[in-house]
Amino acid sequence: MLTDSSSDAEYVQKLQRGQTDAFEILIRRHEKTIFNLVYRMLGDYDEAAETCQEVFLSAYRAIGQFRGDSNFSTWLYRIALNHATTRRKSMNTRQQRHVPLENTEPMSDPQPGPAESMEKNEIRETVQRALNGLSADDATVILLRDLQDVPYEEVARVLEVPVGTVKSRLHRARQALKSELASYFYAGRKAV
Amino acid sequence: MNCEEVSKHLTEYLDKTLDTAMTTRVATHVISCALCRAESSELADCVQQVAALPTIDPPLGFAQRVMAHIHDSEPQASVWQRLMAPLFGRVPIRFAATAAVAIIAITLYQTEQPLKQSNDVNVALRSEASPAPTHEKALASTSTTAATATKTPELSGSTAAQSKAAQAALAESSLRAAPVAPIPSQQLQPAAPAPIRAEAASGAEEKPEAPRRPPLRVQEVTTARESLPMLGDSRGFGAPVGAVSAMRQAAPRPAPLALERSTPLGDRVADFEFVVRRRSPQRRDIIEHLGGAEALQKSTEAENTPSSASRPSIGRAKIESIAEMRFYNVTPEHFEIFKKELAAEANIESEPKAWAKEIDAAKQADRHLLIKVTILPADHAPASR
Repeated sequence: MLTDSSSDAEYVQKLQRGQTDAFEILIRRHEKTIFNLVYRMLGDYDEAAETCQEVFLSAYRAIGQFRGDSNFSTWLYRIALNHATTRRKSMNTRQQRHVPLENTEPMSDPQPGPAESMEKNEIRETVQRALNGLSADDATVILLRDLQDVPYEEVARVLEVPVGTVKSRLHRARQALKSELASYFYAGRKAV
Repeated sequence: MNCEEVSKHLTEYLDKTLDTAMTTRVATHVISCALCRAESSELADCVQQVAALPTIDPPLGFAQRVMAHIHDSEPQASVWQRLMAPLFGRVPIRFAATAAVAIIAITLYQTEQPLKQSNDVNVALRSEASPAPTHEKALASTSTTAATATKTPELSGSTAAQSKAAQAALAESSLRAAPVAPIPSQQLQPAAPAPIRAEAASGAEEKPEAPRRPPLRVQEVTTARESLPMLGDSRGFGAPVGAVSAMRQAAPRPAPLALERSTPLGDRVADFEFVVRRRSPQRRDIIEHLGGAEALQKSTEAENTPSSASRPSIGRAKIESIAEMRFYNVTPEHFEIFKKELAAEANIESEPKAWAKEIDAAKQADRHLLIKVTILPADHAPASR
């Protein structure tokens, strides 16, 4: 969810005038949103923390180029998604080399959790794995719309595409996610 | 509405962004169609599962860590940079540089102005004082300036000041030429009216507003005077009508120095050296009491030297009893004029013998001659060297 942009604009102006401390306030305002977006894109806490730091450092270095045509949060989302996409590609390459066992296990025979919390955790992990299995474009649009609850218009500005494209891309991404989760839900229903 | 149309709108239907009519149509179909109902349900589950993902907190101290990284990566600003940061943030660097250059230029100009003014006055008066026919060319520019000033009184301040100085020079020249030099310098300014003379006197009074002049032809460079401070009469020679005395009145010197002042010529050696002796005071008194023109000259001097009224007689005696050494910058063309003027104002006791070669060399090199004049006291006065 985007924060109040008018206040952001004031701090951005201060930062552009050389008041470095104004950036700390901007970080505190947006760190949680950006971190969750990046974390869900990557599915790894440490990678997300490192990537998120790069995002804010990049924003700091490029703050002089920010003209205020869009909200600061929109601009920050764009930087975060660029960094996350790049990191995601490099992570996929590393995972293909190491081939972790958990990703190769079929989800057709999941172990039912002994408790409800265990089941919730399992569902979360499954959803995260499903997100990891999507393309970066599909994951991006789902996370912006369904996780961050960003309006279509704002998603269109972040992705720099028309609103119609956002809708069609979201429909396609949800279908892909449903396919990723189908075996789990099917098995779950069978188990239940 | 068929299943295909419903599938197109299913995403917006789940997000509740369809208008009411479309929402009703899609809902009606979903309720009646098992396939579309299943599809809608599964997609809604997906959306719900993603939305239900918990919010993860970033690492503790994340913001501080980022800020520390920023501070570490930036070069430490010096105290000067910190002080000037607000200024440079608002003022373009080009404008600041231009302003700095302008300030320096103005400062240099103002520093140089007094020396230039003093030199200009000296040159003008000396040049115009010469009665020799060859000097008329040199006078032309000054006369033109004076005439222009007479015709156009609305000239700017600096030009008016120049004109006044020129008129003062011409007035004094005409006064001096009558008794001393037979060549009538009045011909140069034959109809010099009384107002001009009066203006000349008042122009000489405006010493602080020293005028600018055309290019230098003769320039007195340095003076070395022994021991005594300058009291009252500041003349260099015994004769009262010399160009040197006119220079004194147009631009008074600062207090004399025991040693030579620094000069723009540095340590250059004089091309020629004259040794002259002051004429006796008696001779000067005779000259001073000549005719009405002299009376005007005298009154002009009296106005220009406020302390002369109360000048003690012992001061004049002391002035004339000391030796003095002066340096002059003279163009090669005006060497003869300088020599004649020097002879008219003092007794030459020693002068250079072979000077033609040196003058030719100076002409070829397009440089001024540096002439050293040692002024000895009058015969009856004891030298205080």
